[in-house]
Amino acid sequence: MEKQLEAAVHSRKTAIPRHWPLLLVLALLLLGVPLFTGSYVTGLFVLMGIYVIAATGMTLIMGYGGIVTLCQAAFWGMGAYTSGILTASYDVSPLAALLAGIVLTGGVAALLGLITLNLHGHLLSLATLGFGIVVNIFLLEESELTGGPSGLVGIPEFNLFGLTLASDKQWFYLVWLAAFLVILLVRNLVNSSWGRTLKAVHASAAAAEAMGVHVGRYRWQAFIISAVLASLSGSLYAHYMTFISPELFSFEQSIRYVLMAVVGGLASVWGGLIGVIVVTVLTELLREVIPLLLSESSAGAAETIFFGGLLVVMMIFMPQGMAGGLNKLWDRIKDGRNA
Amino acid sequence: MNKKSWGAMLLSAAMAISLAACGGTGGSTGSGSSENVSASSAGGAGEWKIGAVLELTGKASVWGIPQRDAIQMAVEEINAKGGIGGKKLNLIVYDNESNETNSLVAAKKLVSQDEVLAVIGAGTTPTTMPLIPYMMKEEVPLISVGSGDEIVLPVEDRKWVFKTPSNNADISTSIVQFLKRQGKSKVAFISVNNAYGDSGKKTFEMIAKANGIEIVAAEKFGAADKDMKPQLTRIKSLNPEAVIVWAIPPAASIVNRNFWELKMDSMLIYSAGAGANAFIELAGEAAEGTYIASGKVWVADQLPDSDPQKQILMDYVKAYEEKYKTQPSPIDGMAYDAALLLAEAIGQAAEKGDVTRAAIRDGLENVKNLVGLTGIFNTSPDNHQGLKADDVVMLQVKDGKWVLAQ
Repeated sequence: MEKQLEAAVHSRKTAIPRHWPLLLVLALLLLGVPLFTGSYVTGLFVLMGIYVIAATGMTLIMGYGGIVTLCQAAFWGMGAYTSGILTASYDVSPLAALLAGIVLTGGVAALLGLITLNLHGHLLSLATLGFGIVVNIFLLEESELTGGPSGLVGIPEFNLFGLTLASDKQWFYLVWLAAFLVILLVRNLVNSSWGRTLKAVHASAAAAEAMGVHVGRYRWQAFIISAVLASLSGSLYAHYMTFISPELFSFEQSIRYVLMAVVGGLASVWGGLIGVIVVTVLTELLREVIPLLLSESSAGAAETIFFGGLLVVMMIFMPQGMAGGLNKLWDRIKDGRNA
Repeated sequence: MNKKSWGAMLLSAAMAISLAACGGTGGSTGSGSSENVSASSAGGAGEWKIGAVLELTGKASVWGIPQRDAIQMAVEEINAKGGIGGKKLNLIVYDNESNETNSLVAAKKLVSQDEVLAVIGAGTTPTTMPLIPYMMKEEVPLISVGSGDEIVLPVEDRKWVFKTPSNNADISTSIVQFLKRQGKSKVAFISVNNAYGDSGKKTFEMIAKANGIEIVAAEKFGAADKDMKPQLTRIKSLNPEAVIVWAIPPAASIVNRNFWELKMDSMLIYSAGAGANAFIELAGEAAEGTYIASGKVWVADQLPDSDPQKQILMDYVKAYEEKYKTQPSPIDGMAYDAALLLAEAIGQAAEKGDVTRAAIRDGLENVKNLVGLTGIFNTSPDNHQGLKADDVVMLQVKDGKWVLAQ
């Protein structure tokens, strides 16, 4: 891990991803999805795209910042609720509401970061966990504002400069465009000098500090960016679903984001994308398979046990996640060809 | 950060995941396993395809599984009688894992991929709410088994949405009338902190106020809480004459146990949401003397012969016990009613020779005196629910069984 991180700190990457032909093929395949499938499959992909944005934020803070945050769902919810409340109750345009959500969530993350980022390791994770629970209680209890446990109804559809997104197809293209822009942005960010410093901080905070790097500040900035991405994703989610309730933004969802980031791979910006795909596909498969093997009502519990086990196995045998594994495979293929 | 602490941090995350398992199941995108109860022909031409989205797994599966069973039984009964207009019903059921996002995904699968004529579901208020805008846009009839009044109100925005459980207003009225008959005027209210409890609280407060009943305390608890003694202790200190509970099992049963453990002696009255068999099973001896405002499924054999619902209720209880070797409950009765309403609407459309989603919707708005398990349905363009307060009866636990309250 350290060696790899060291290599990552020193490697220089071009603005265009190394595997661009592969990516191009995948992108073309993806573009075809809504043309050949109905609103069900397209809808699944829209949700995946939305999750990818928040999971990429998670990859940034966990993989590059080296902090396990357990409040991604709370930031996700803040974005969703800001968009929802402003558009449903105050007739603000969805785009403005989305930006307001980003500003609010970024601001709250900045404050939270100021207070907590000097904590280390588990303590920091616990602080974010507590924050996530506080946000959830706020959403439940401030029913005048948030609709309380009944949820927030009547969120209008998203419109962009007068164009209303009504069909799943339109949503699909918007969401995946946003997801790829986010991934590219994060990619270029972690390859910039800022990103290299962040990675150095992760590899060894003491060494970085000795070199005169303000360790706290870099983590703080990564934390804010990750929260902003969650907020963006949450706003899109609110407009897509048109109904949100506090239950969606609970601790369990935060854990799901951790799972997606870890399974996908923490040492790659593509980790979030891969994690979301793997988790979604596995969930669908498990739901088909488990009822055949066990009783129907045990499906939910079995799924949780499976994902918990998967997380442990991934950590032991594939700490780089799927993205790391794929990278290795790619290198091996290339080496084989060159030899 | 060194390698060791990395592993430790991730391991702690793994432990947190197993923690989350206790709280319920996390849902991801997707819909569930499908089961077809169909006529022999699998083709589309010879059958009416209908769908259902229910809570087969997750925290509301106490409701979802009996509801699925009841709908399947209704469909089989209708098909055994030759179907509707010569064609059989083909039911497709998907699981939404008690999760709001999955509920919408499953409904989309039914509407766009399976192209069903109408959808029954979802089984709870929060899982129904996200479906409403989608069904309105796609113009597909939806019959929910969720209790919240907002599912069918305001009716101008719910053109395609119907429901079978009694409105909270009817249940509240029934409870308030019972309290008045018993001469009680000072009550405490305790509800679960979700859409169901919230909607019940608002409605009950309004109706109690209009009838001169004073609510001395209003407490809340979480759906996954394991101990409600703090809230009940506060209520006990205020000495109310009755405690009204708006919750579903297992939390509802825990309130009952805690109430008993604290030796509280006021009346304990539940809303229809506690109407699953699991309620008495979980509350055990503590349930003795507890009241519930609910449908009549549990007391079918105690009803007078003059009751117009007696026949259908007796038949239902007998058929259900024979088929599933377990007791039915008012909760699955509501799902059975949803299937009856849908069959009635398809029948009306078939008579006109035009079975489309729009024709079925028109039929659902034009149900007259349909005798169901929850009550007698009379729908109209301004009433997408169709029951009255009289359809809710008060029951009490005597010797571990529900009986009609005196």
